[in-house]
Amino acid sequence: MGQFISLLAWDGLRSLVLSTKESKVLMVGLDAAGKTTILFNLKLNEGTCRFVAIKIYHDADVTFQINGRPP
Amino acid sequence: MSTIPTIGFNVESIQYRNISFTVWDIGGQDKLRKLWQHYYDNTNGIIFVVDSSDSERIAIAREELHTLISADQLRNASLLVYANKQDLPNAMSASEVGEALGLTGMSFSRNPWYIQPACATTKAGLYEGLDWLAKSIK
Repeated sequence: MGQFISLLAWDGLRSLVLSTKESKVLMVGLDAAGKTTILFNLKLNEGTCRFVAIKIYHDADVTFQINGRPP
Repeated sequence: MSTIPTIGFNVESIQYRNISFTVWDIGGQDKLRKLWQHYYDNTNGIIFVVDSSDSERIAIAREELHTLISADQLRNASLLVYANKQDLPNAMSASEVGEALGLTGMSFSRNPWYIQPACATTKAGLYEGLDWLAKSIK
């Protein structure tokens, strides 16, 4: 959690210094159109190791994974 | 390549030019599409992804796109369409996809839009599309 907060703080600081604009983008389309492939290929190419992912997998019961780690 | 359907969503922060895109990738299965509306608030950009080789379901994609774009919360959002899977032999061209989606019709929407041919697996076209989106959102 502390790591998550410091990530947020770092993001805030960097956006001040580099005047980064924040923007929310919605990626939608029918199933199997390639949305997730696009997302992860863009992310892989970014060249930074900053990785903030929140994934929800639904199986027999619901599991939340934060930063790829099980709870 | 084998992929698994997205149940729920994926979120990634992508830094490109001087914009930090928080991209919400929301599952596209039939039953999940009615959930899209819960993600509309404060959206600056929409990326609509189309399987260019799926001519059977392009009419459904058109319907979903038009429903999406008529939402009030999205009235100022820029719309980027990826005509994806251009590597497949039976893929429609970007202009054919645009035609089938009704993008080229008169006064399609109040939103600025752009269609980009793409191949997600080789990354072809992905950054050209983001370039437009970055400029349009600015």
